[in-house]
Order: sequence, then structure tokens, then C-alpha cells
Amino acid sequence: MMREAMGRTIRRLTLALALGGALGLMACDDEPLAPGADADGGAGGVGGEGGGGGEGGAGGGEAQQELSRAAGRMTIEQLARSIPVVTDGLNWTEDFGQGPVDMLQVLAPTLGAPDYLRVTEENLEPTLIIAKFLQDASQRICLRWVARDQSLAAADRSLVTHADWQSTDEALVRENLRRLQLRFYARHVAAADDPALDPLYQLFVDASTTAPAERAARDGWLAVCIAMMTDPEFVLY
Amino acid sequence: MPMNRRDFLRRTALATGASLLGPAVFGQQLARAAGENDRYFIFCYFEGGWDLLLGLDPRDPVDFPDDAVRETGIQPAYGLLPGQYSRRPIDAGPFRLGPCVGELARMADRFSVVRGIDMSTLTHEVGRRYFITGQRPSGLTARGSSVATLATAGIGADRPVPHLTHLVEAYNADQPPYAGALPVAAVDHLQYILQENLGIPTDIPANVRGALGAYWSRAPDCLPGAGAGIGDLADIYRDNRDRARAVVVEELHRSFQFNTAESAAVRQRYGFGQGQQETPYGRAALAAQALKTGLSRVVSVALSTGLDTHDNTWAGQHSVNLQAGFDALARLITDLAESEAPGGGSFLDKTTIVAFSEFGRTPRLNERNGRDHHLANCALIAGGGIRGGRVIGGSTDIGMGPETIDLATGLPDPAGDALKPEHVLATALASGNVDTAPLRVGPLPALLDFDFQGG
Repeated sequence: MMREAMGRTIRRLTLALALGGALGLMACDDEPLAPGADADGGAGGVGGEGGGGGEGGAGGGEAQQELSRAAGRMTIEQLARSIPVVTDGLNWTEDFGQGPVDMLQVLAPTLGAPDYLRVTEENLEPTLIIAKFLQDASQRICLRWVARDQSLAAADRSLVTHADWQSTDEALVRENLRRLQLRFYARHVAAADDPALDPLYQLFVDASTTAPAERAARDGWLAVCIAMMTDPEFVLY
Repeated sequence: MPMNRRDFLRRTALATGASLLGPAVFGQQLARAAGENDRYFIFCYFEGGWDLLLGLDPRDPVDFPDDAVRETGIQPAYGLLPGQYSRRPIDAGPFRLGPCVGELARMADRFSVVRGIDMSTLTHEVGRRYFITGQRPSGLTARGSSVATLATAGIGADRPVPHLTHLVEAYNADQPPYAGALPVAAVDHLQYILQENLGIPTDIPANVRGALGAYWSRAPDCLPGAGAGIGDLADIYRDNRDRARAVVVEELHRSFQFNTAESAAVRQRYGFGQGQQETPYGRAALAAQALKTGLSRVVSVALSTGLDTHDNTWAGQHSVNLQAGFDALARLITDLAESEAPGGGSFLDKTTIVAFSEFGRTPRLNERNGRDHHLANCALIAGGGIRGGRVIGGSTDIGMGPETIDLATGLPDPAGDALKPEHVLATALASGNVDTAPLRVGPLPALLDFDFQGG
């Protein structure tokens, strides 16, 4: 009888240890996020689902948070939902004579989206075809975005929000670039004079100063839009 | 400072990743500089499980009559086929072939047949992924890189799209990014991919293009410290972005506009009309054009579909689809044989072609006059480095099970080894001077037209 009781005790102890171990493994002892890191890191790419906090590394010295998951590329579905969010409703549609078609849906099988017949898993590598698609889509979309934005009042615009759309003033341009960082990549840049904005500002200058005067700002923002939409930051997180 | 759970998991992952560096490093070593290995590969997939009796492993109904099927388990049933098909195996010279091989029967000296491949599976996905990678899948999940990817890695990245696939799965587990496949879901998609903006006129001013070119050529275009963990992925993306721009510069898309008057000669050679590029013939033309235009080095295409005939569609549908695939393959071989390759010789001299399916079909008809899945399989291999007119392996005369063979000679040997897909794929790689080590088996020497030294 004593042996039986000891056996039951050993079994209960074993079970308790096993449960405790399992619970211990499940326990999350994540380090707390540094203040503001969530706002800075955020999901890589507006609309990117499940973006588990990119590095809060906007060049203002905020705390760094390391990813606990592998970096990845947006799915076709995520891309389809992200582009209209960034562009305030635009996506890549073309009319081949039978009404507008969504080119992302047309090309989805070639882009690697699963059809659940031959392909059951989406290829999430940053492949040439994805790069090609974004290259083409950015040109078509940005042309339309620039044209639409120019025709709207400042309060209704999404690409350029300062009052004078045609202005190439450095301070205004940099402030808009800072705002577009948030729009495209959910990245908060602390100040418009942050050196991190220099490459895009240089791009704006290169495109605008080589254009006829009446097209200067338009070409600058067109170039910036294409560059930002084809940046790895847009499609990776 | 005590290690927390996140640190523990991260370090464990790093240790696991380090142990996986072996294949990655090996993969890097496989990659040769551009132009060192002037070879091509085409993998032709027959989707659904092909009938061996109608194709590559026939039986004569005289020797295997219907009234003996209880004993032999083999029922050619050629008499049930549409009238245009032979009722006997076709004498192709060095060997016999089934009645549905079409134009292939006239060029048996250009290819060899491997019979009695033991697939060890009756599941479509498993068989398909086994023959694509040369490794048995884990459940349904493919393991390792596809052999087409290995071939691409072994050749190098001297083409705009080194590895192209159409309706065939591809995997890149451990090879350089350039060896990964560009998949096109439709033949027509390729011409769009090769054009800027799919050929739609787009008014991007030259000064904007120039500014963007200068921007992209400068330092990486992301904020410092941005994108935790995506540095390598971003580099891959930028590399592909540059390749995407290079692809459109060469105007290769014209060679894939199969609906134009300029493509009439291609359509005539392969036997398809305008708007019919989504046929075995159109896909074969796609593969040939990809090599001949300098777009790709390695191409995988599904030549034939609709072969999974478990019911009485076997007689009228399987036969037609199978022959269409073999006819397309024959025209592809002929086209490559008659096309001069850069540096001399024909494209066929420098191309290895493998035709395969996920398994064979039962040699005995089922109760619905169809054929089900069968463990034994065949393959066809042709091209440079391959000895034509040979048969390797065999199937038994009772039930057409795979025979064991002497791997050195390819002859049946009761004390020999089972013939597996990886043996065929290693032979293909070896013929193209690509390292076979990832497949862990050597090639079949009897199929090579040179002395394989191993490695």
C-alpha cells in the first residue's frame, strides 16, 4: 500500500514537473518595448499584415528592437491591399478594351500566388518577377498619382501636401519626404533635416532641375514616388 | 545577465542555421563564373502519371493477351485506342516504343529510355516533387532544391533569366538567388514580363529615368538602421530589381510573341496556330526560344497535361494527350538539333533534356477501363553528353514491377539496386558537367557518352 502511494506521488510529481516545464517554455519573457519603438518600427510597409515591428531605427536615436522572426516579403494579397492604402485608392489597372482589369490579379499566378492546384504555397522570395512587377506598377501608378494630386486642393492631396504643389523649396520638399516615409514605410523620421532623407532629396533635385520649368516639381515627385515604391522597404518587412 | 527565452531561441536558431551553412557553402562552390559551363537543360514534365505501355515501356498484345491478364497482370489494351494508333509496339530501331510516342519513334538514336524506376509512391505531389528534386519529399513537402535549380547554379548567371519554369514547380533551398526560377503561369506572360510596363506606352520622361538610374546606382536606398533582419533579403531584391531593368533593354519579348506574323515560322515548326500557345507545342516552342534567344540556360515546362485517366477516358484522352506531349518533345529535339549554338555545334549538342512524369499507370485496366497509379516509372533523357539509342533498366513481365539493375551497366540484375529518380537526375547533371553530389548518387555510366570521373 505504501508502495502504491509512493508510486502515485511520483507520477503526480512527474506530471507536475512536465506541466511546469511546458508552462515555463510557453512563458513569454519578452523585453518590454522601448518607448516609441512601436511607432518607429511598426509594420514594414503600410498595410503589411503581421508586421512584427521593424527595427525602431529611424535615425533619431530611438531604441533598437530586434526581430524575433525571419524577415519576409509581403504576399500578393498584402501587396494588393497595401498599394491602395499608400496611394489613397489607386492600384494598377489597365483597360485593354473590355473594361479595367486589375493587373495584380491578372499576373498573380506568375507572381507566385498559390492557385491551390499546382501551387499550394506562395513563393515569398523577393524574386525578379516581383521586382519587375513593382517596377512596372510604380511607373503606371505614380504617373496617375502625380496627375491626380496636382489637380486636388491641398487638403485633399496625399502625395504632396504643402500648399504650392509646384514648389521645389528645400524645406517644403524635405518635410514632404519626411511625411512620405511615414506613408510608405510607417517610419517616423524625427526632423526634415535628417541626413537619412538626403538620398531621396537628391533624387528630387536631380529630376526636377533637369526638367522644363513647368514640369520641375512634377518630375521630382514622380521620381520620388517610383523610387519609394520600388524600394525593398516597401515590399519587405 | 541570465539568458532569457528569446535569447535562447535566437541562439538555438543560429546554431541550427550554422549547421545548415554546409549546403549553402557547398551551393556557393557549385556556382561557376559566367560562361565557364556552356550548357543548357530542359526538363519536360508530363503531368498526371503517364502510361508506360502506351509510351516508353510497351508490351506486345500477342505476348500479353487479355486472356492471360490474370497471370501476367499486364493488359496493353491497344485495341481500345482510337483507330490511328498501332495495335502493336512500334519498332523504333534500337528499342520498341508504345503506340502513342508519335514522332519520337523516328529519332530513337537521339535519346535513351530508362525503365523500371522505382518511385515508391502513388501520390501525385510526392512523385512529382521527388522527380523534380531527386529527394523523397517529407510528407508532401519537397526537400532540397529542384535539380533545375542545381543545374542553374552549376552553370552560372550569364543569362537575363537563368532559370525559367512554366507550370512546373521549382525549389531553391540552398543555392544562390540567381538559380531560383522565374515562373510564368502562361506562355503569353513571358512576352509581357520582358517588356517595360507590359508593353503599355508609359510616359516617364528621360530626365526622370536618368535621375532614378543615378539614384539606384548610389548607396543602398534605405534609411540607416532600418529593416531589421532584411539586409540580405533587400540585397537580393535590389539584385533582382537591376536584372528586371536589364531584361527589358534587350527586347527579347519579340521572340515570345507567338501570335505575330514574325512568329509564323516558329508556329509552323511546332505545329500550333495563333492563339494556341497554351498547348504542348506552344510550351515546347517557349522552351526552345528561351534557350535560342539567350534568355535562359535552364527551362522546365509541363509539356503534357490531362494524363490522370482513371476511367474510360484513358483510351481516347490519355492516348491523345500523351502523343501530343511526345510530338512536342520530338519537335523540340529536332529544333535544337538544327539550331546552331553560340560557340559552335548545335543547341542539342549542349543541352540535356529529361522527360518525366510522377509515376506510371497500372498495366492492367481497372473496372472502369482506365488505369490507376503504378509504382514503376520511366524517363527519357537526351542531348549532349547522353548516349542515344539505349535502354537502361526494365520492368518485370509479371505486373510490370521495377527490376533491380546493375547501376554500372544498366542491365537487369536480381542482385542489383533499385533504380531511382535521383539516378536519372544525376545522369542529367553529369552530362552537363554539373556537380551531382547534392543528389548523393552517381550517374548511370551506361547513359553517358564520356567516361565519368566522379566528384
